[in-house]
Amino acid sequence: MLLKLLKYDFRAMWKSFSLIWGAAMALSLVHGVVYSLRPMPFYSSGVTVMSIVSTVLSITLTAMFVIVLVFIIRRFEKGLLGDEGYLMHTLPVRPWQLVLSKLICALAVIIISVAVSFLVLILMIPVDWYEILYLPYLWDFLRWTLSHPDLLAYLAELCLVVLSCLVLGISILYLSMAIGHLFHRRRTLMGVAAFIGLYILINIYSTWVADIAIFRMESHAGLLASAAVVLLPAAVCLAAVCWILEHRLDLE
Amino acid sequence: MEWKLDDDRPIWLQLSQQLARRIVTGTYPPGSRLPSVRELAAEAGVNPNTMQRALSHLEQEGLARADRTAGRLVTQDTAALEAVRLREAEAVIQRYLEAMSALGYSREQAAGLLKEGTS
Amino acid sequence: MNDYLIQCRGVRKSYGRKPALTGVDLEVGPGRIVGLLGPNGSGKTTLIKLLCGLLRPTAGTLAVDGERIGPATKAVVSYLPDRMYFADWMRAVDLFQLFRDFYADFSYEKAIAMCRSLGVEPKDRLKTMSKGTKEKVQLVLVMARSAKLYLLDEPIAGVDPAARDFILRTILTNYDGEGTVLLSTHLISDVEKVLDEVIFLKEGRIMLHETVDAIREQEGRSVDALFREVFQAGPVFGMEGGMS
Repeated sequence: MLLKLLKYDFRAMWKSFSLIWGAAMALSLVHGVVYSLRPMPFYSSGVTVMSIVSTVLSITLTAMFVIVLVFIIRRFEKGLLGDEGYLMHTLPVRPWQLVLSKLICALAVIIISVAVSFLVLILMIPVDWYEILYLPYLWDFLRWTLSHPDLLAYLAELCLVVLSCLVLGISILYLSMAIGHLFHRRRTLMGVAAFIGLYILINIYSTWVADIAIFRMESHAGLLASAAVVLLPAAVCLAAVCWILEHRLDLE
Repeated sequence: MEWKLDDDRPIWLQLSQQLARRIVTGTYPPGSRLPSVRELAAEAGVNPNTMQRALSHLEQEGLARADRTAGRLVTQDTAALEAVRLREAEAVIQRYLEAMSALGYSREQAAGLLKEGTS
Repeated sequence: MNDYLIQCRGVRKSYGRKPALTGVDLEVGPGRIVGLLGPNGSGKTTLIKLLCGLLRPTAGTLAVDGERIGPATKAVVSYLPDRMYFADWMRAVDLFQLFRDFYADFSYEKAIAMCRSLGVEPKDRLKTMSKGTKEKVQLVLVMARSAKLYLLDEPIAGVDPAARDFILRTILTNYDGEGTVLLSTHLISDVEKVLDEVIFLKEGRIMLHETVDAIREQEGRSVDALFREVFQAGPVFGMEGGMS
């Protein structure tokens, strides 16, 4: 059932983002082409075009991340606490499946958007791939990495910590909206208040944890422990969201 | 033929009477297959359970019988059909006499006028 | 155990301090078309939302087909809400696919066929459809399932008489004879002849639960006439006992 929910959520994501992702990539390609034409005689006009394109590109990227945030909030608020909730909550699934599906989709949106941004940066400047692949440093670096598998583990753990932080952020957003939903009036205002409250709580929690435990970022255990420390309040938030959806749902 | 339902009597009874009327007037000829409950219910815009009850009542009156393969068949028992036709006729006569009595005619006068009118 | 499709025992529901249902005991068998009748604010929508799992009761228990409300009952309940629940980006066929994915009793082919007979183009985007067309799509979604329980919240409110007749006919011809239909309305004269039973709901309580035939036989008048009497607004003689 979770997979079916994901299919539906990912389709909604694709509908919202295919255009903006495509636009960002297309713009960066244009930028790259113009850049490669720079030494040509129409140098000055090339610069003008380039500056326009790069401005539009940076606006697009900024807009993309604003839209990502709006998308994450709207998909939860409209999809589970608004009119679409009439559909989602009468499907034969459990609330945790609904929440998890939205969470996974939100993470995917962020990750793909970050990936698109990197891709945009690469495309912006035309690279001579042939040259890069034959740089001696690259092969030395690869060889060195492979001889130190530790490094890859660190990288994976670092990703895990970043991912945990994202999960925590989204969970706080979800819980704020769910708390706002508990009120009959001024739900948005209460949601914002809840968000501020939760934010303060999480800050208190993190300073407290930092006081009692010393996490050494250099060690595997330290990285894993910090991921766990971040995931713990996230799990609490998500459990609270599920409880509210199960017991206190009140679609007007 | 339209289905007419009034407010003060059970719906199944009204349906049953109108079905009986259709049978004696030949809309559903003797020995023919009656439409299914769902078809009739949809046609009359009523609940299938109500139509079912109306049809059961027809069976009790001997106007229709359930058949294993063909659903429900109109009876070929002419005596039963005749009895219902007579009952309907009596109801028509009753209405006629009531209307005539309202106009101030006695039963005999009403009968006489009827004879004159038909001759 | 499952003689009754719907079983409610002592069900109460309040929104904050405001009570919506104040002790509902109800049993409805399979294969019935039941009218849930009452004026606005009598608790009809609340009862339906409790049965389809959108709300939890404050007290009491509810069961559908012998099961407590949860994914198992949601799989056999087909619910028509009193509002639109569509996401803008979808087409009708997208919704049909979604329903086919989630409900084993949904027939995609039947849904398409129903669209054809209703004059709805299933490949159109919902965003471009009129309100009436969207309502038809929603009705198709609900009736293309062969559910055990159909919960229809005000299916004929706010549509013209021709559409009303049409909707009732759609319900009659498409519902699986085994299923039970519970439909709420305050337009009784229009639905009376399709109902087996009626439930009168007043101020969160069941006033009457009887078959339509029994009411007509005993009272010698239509359910509509009885309803008008039961729910007649009494004259107000000032405020007795202080504050309102």
